Amino acid sequence: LVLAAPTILVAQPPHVASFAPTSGIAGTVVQVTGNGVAEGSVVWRHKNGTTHQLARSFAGAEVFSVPHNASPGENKFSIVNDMGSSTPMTFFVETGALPPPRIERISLLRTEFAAGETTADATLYIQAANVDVGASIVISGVSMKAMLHKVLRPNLYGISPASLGYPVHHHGTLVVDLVGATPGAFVEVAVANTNGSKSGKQTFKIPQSGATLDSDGDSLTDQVELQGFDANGDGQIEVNLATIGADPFRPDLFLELDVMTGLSFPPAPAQLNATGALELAVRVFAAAPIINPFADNGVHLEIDASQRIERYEVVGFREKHNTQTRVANFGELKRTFFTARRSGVFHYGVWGVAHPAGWSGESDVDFGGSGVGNDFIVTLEKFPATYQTLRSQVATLIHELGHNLGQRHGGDNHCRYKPNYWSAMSYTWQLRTGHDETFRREHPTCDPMYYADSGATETNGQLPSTINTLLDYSSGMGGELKEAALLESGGVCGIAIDWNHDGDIDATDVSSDIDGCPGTSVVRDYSNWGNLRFDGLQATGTSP
Amino acid sequence: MTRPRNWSKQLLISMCVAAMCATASLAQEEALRERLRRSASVDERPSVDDTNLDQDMGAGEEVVKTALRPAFRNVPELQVRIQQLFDDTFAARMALQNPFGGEGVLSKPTAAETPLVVVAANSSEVLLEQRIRAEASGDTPAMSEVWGANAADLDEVAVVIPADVEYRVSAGDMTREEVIAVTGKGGEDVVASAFRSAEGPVEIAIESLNLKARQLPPLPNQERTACEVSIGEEKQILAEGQVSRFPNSGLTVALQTSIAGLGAEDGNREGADHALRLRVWSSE
Repeated sequence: LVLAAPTILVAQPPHVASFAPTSGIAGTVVQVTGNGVAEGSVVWRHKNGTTHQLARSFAGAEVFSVPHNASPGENKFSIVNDMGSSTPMTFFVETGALPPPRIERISLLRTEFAAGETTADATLYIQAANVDVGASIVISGVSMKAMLHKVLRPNLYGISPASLGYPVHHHGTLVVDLVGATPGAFVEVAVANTNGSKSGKQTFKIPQSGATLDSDGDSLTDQVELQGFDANGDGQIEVNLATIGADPFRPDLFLELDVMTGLSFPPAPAQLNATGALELAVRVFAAAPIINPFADNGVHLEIDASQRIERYEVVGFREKHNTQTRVANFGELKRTFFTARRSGVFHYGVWGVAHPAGWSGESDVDFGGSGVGNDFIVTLEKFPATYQTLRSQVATLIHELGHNLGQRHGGDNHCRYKPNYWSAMSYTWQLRTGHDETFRREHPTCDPMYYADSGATETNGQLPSTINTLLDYSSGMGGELKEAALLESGGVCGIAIDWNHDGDIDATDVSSDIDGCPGTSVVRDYSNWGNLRFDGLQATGTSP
Repeated sequence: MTRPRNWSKQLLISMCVAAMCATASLAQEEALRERLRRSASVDERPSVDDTNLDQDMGAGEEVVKTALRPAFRNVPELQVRIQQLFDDTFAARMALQNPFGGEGVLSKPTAAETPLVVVAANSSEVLLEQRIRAEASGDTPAMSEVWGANAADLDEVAVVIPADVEYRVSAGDMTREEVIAVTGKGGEDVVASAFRSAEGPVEIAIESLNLKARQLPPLPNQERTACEVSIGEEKQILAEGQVSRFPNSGLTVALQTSIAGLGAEDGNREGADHALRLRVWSSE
């Protein structure tokens, strides 16, 4: 893939119709519209009068990054081509710096194997937070020019980036070629912005062969996604994934969810103008900050919940199946009801009545072994009325499915109550609106992020008056908290928190156990979206 | 080893035996490049939906569209729980009648035929209005006739059954308790269930039945344990899964689960690891 910009002669100088944003810190990605912009180049005019031409993206000059050395205040830029320059535009540079890039995902755009599959040419598609136009890729120590393809901007719900530990101003994807790579070899990948700031290294495995090629890294080979799944190796296709939306360049998750009969609170169906619980879960994954090269962004979650199964009062992974006491063993249900030909390509879930220990659900994730799972149960039926909400249903479903995908209650650990880990995997989020005010007081979070509203505040644990929709995993933006030295006025995401529950906001640092894990000293956020694992279908969990 | 393109361009060409190979590959590259140019974009991350996530879902198949429900609303909650209690007890009794452990000869009513329970008073003295298919005799049936009814054999009439209800529910993020006991007037008909979880051995009580249950210390390396169940002066030790009659009180008790240290790894533990769940009904 040749990454040089095309030279196209046009008859007129470029004309800029609009650009956005019109202000931002150095490193901000700007989108420009107008005539002849795509074919032009961006010339940045610094406050001191010096100019320089900025790097191009796949969108030409329609997408560029504000130079890192731009001085705060009014700066000018123009789009130029062989016929001249556009009218200079004013961009207001704010004080602040773009954090170093952070790799979130590496997938493949194109892979070709030489005869005998002794070498492979691969085009990598690398997603990183806060990457700039013109960034380089460093592969196994060698720096290579890359070109930025797509940009996705998160919604910070009015939270000041300065109050975040790692503010994600945007996610972007870079395209770069590897030629003559060794199939099955591991390479170290890093991203370097134009100002030299570098991401951490991430290891990527070059595909072993055409038969095992999995471009989007969802543990379903391209062959299976395009041609179907031969479950029993008889040469016949038993599951045609393409017909249910499989795309080798977009991560796919397939789930068979069997719902017990006679439930008072089955997954809420769509009604009137309201979205049903399962459709909402699908949208959570579709809205994931995961950029795909050609298809829609996000993860494609396909749920088959068409089957109703016999009601048992209790269902658990470790229970003895007992029809007399109405207790079901999950494995027994799976053997009976799960569509066997889907084994290896579908996760399996049971939406039941009650967990043996009264839990809202459980995944078979094997944290002591594979670190992933492929089975789970949701058991909210007997929870009190305050928990019987769409939010609880969807949050519990994605919580348990998240375990299958290798995610933990605390991100990088199992601590359940991190205030700076904004994820449905955390107990501070999963059933938050169902819990009482005491719980919410004792387990604070970033209110604007949870309620998706810039003004949302839980005063004394009370629910705010405005509650918008947000169901999410963490993108890893929360600031680090030291339990021995907590600043109450700083709280999390800039909102003050009474960490020691003494009724006021102390001026001096206080200490408190804030994550539910005795002995923890530093409490950190963790990006779930950047660390999803899709290999639970093959590695399985604690149950087959 | 891997060689980045910008210093191994020649290698790509040399891998192709014929010049035709390189030409085809470059054509594919140009097609991909054009595709990337056309698909380049800047997007805002979408929010999930504009649906009110905290709406009251009501009970049953239909979602009730109302505003956020911050308060605990007892009457519909109790109505749902009594219905569940009746349904599950019916299923348990049917299973017990079948020596092979199946569902019994009587099929469970489908959702549309399930008796509708309406709780029309406070929880200390509750009127249960049952819409069942029964011969309209004008007499109030015993409660056991209602919850044990084979719906297919009955005509649909409304009956009102006086009953006492003990209802106690609480939920924390790690522990839960739910006790529900319905006693027909006169005390002859009883349907009850009790569940409690805790970080340690569990005790539970159904006060209206004078029933107490407590977990006994588990045997070494056992995650399940027996329970001592007493109803008044009558005391029995039940193992998990055991169903036993208490002759003096005329009640049957099923110990559904008794967990003492669930064998889940700490990471995927979603709550307390001790729990006790039992069901009680009037013996035949």
